[in-house]
Amino acid sequence: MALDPMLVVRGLSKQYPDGTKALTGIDLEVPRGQLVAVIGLSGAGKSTLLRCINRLVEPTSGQVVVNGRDVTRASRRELRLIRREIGMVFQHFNLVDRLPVVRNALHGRLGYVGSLRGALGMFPHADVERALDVLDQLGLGQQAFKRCADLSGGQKQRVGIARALMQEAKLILADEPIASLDPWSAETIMKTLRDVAVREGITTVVNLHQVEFAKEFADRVVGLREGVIYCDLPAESLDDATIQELYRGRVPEPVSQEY
Amino acid sequence: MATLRDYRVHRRAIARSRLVIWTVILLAFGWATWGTGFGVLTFVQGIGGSFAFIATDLLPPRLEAAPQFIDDAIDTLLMSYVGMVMSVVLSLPLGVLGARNTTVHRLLSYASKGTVSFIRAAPDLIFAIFLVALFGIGPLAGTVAMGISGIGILGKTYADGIEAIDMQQVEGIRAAGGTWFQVLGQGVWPQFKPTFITWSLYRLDLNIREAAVLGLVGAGGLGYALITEIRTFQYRTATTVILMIFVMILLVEFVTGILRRRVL
Amino acid sequence: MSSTAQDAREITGTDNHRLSRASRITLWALAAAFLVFACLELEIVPARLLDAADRAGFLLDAIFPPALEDPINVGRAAIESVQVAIAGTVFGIVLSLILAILAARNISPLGPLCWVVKAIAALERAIPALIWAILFIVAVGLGPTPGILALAVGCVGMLVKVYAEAIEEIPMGPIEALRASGASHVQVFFQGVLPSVMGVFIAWSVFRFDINVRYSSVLGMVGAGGIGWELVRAAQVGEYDVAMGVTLVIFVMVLSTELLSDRLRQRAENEAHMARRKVMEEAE
Repeated sequence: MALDPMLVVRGLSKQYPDGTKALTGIDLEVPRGQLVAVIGLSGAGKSTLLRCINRLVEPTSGQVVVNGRDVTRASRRELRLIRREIGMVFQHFNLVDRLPVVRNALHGRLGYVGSLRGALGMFPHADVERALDVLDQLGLGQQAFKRCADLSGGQKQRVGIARALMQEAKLILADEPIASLDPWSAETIMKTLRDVAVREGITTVVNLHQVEFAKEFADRVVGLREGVIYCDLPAESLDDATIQELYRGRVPEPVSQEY
Repeated sequence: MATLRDYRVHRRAIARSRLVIWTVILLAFGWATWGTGFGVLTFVQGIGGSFAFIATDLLPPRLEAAPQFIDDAIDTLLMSYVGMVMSVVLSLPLGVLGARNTTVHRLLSYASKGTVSFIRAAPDLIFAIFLVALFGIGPLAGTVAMGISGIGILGKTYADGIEAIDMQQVEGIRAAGGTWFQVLGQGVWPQFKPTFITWSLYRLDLNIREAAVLGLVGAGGLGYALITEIRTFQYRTATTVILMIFVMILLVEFVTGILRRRVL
Repeated sequence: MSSTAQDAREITGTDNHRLSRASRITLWALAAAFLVFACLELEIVPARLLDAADRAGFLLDAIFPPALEDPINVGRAAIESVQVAIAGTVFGIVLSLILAILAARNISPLGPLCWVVKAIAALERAIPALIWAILFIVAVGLGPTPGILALAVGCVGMLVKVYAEAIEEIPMGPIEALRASGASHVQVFFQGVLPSVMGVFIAWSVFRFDINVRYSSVLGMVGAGGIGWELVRAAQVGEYDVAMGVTLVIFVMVLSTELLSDRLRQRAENEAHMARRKVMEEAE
């Protein structure tokens, strides 16, 4: 059955006041349930692209439509409603370190509970049970009441993913989720992202600079070069020549060789 | 796996802990305000009234009176400096003995740290009172008072700073055959120097503030002049003295700031 | 709070203006010369020190054994000092919080003028606590009131600076994450901002309380209530054994309040850890 694409980006551009053109004329359509890897050099615009999708960064021009709703022209209130369906996973995890793991997971529900209740940390029992269940499935059952500050990098990222799952997100944006992790944790996280995507049917867009991870875990790879889409093809079609051109000879070393 | 019940136990435990803390604080505060007869109203009125009073009776300052206090001002400055040097000289051995990695014996480390803590518990003025009895009125008492009380801070921070160094660099010198003093001088000192300079200069900043008030008990400096002017209701002259103290403090902070940047 | 060595490095920052070796030796030489000059000016000469050594024996005799002429009165005064310290600190914290919100670059309603508040705090820092006490005594009279006012205002210099810095240094990452998940402003503040600054806030507040207890004992010397008055009185009439007795009471007061405030702080710091332990206990 043909459903609308989950994410539609049309003519997206972002220019900063100092003249830097981060993105120019990006056109992208992501069907539901697809896992897209966005690759490219640092500064190619990967992070800006993701942040324009949920309007953490204001686009200069263009349109972003998520699940049929226009993000770019949404009001404050509408934006909040749209955002609660978009989960985001960050390179530096972005957890509230002093709070316990389960509370950070429950933060995913803040968009759904009342403003005051959420502020006071009062979540419905059903949400709490779900959070504990999700954490357990991600292997964090024993850590539920630990402070996030006491966790390892891989564990922290799993909490970040739990938070996104608690949002019942239909779209997950992952901005370099494994850049701060060791190779083994990185592998685990990518597996988790893919398993979650497949099992729950969540559309996922992942920024990566490790090309081999992109090939291994993604359905589709989009290459950005200097703010413009350079290539857009199924993961298995990604060949070395394209990679070379994308990175202009400065291909990042495959991680496995360093260790 | 953690259950909802666990979550509720957790929330309750935290809530109970917070309740205890807030109750203690509120009870203490209630007890304090009841005992002293001081409430929010008193605070607001007090602040308002005081600043109004300062604006009318204390300002503008009688600057013409400044020259007569120059001697005292210079004394205050000198006292601070000598007091710092004295603290430094006394605290260095205490610091070295106090630090677990440079001490001769573990018991000495405890003894040294204990002495330093003990000294730290007493405000400068208390030392000053007894020292005035010993040395008589005048800046000598104040200087020694600051010298001894400085050990409280410097003894601790020196010891902490020495404990924080990288012992491997020290081991290198010890392995090359250095004596205890050589090890201290070449291995410990270079790493310890930033801590030393920073906290010693900080003590100078503290001293200049203390020196200004030690005069209240006769231990030299501008404090005595200040209290005299106030007792004789010469408020605007008193303001001049306060301004001089203020200027000196800023001056010393400025100089120590420069020294810190350039010597480190 | 960070270790002292870390403090030293933080305070120095970058230092590309290091002096040459010759300049540094000159500096040390000047310092030594200044020391000699200062000692001579202040009459800190061996002769006076030896004089004092003689008197030392008499003084020690007079001091020991320490005694308390009127223990009930002294006890009452000590309690008053503690009360002054508590009241002064609480008012000081509230005052400083309000000013810190005005002073913090990232959230100040004053916008570009936030530095004014910071400057005021810096100026306050340059006025010793005792001088504030004298000012307030002149304005409102003797007793604990000027003491509380002096301590409260005295907090401002230190607390506004550290509170504002804590607010300015909140990690923005978690806040961005909460906004991205659709949380409201109120939720972001209470669930993101507040937990992040709590630790620093508690640590500095307790630290300031300990300082205020010390100051409180001294403020009495000028008439701002508390035990300082007893000490000065005893010294003035030459009753040095009583003076020592009062000093010991001050010690006990300072050390015990430090212990209690530290216990309270630890409880607040460890609440998450202790709650987790409770969960594990009850699960058995």
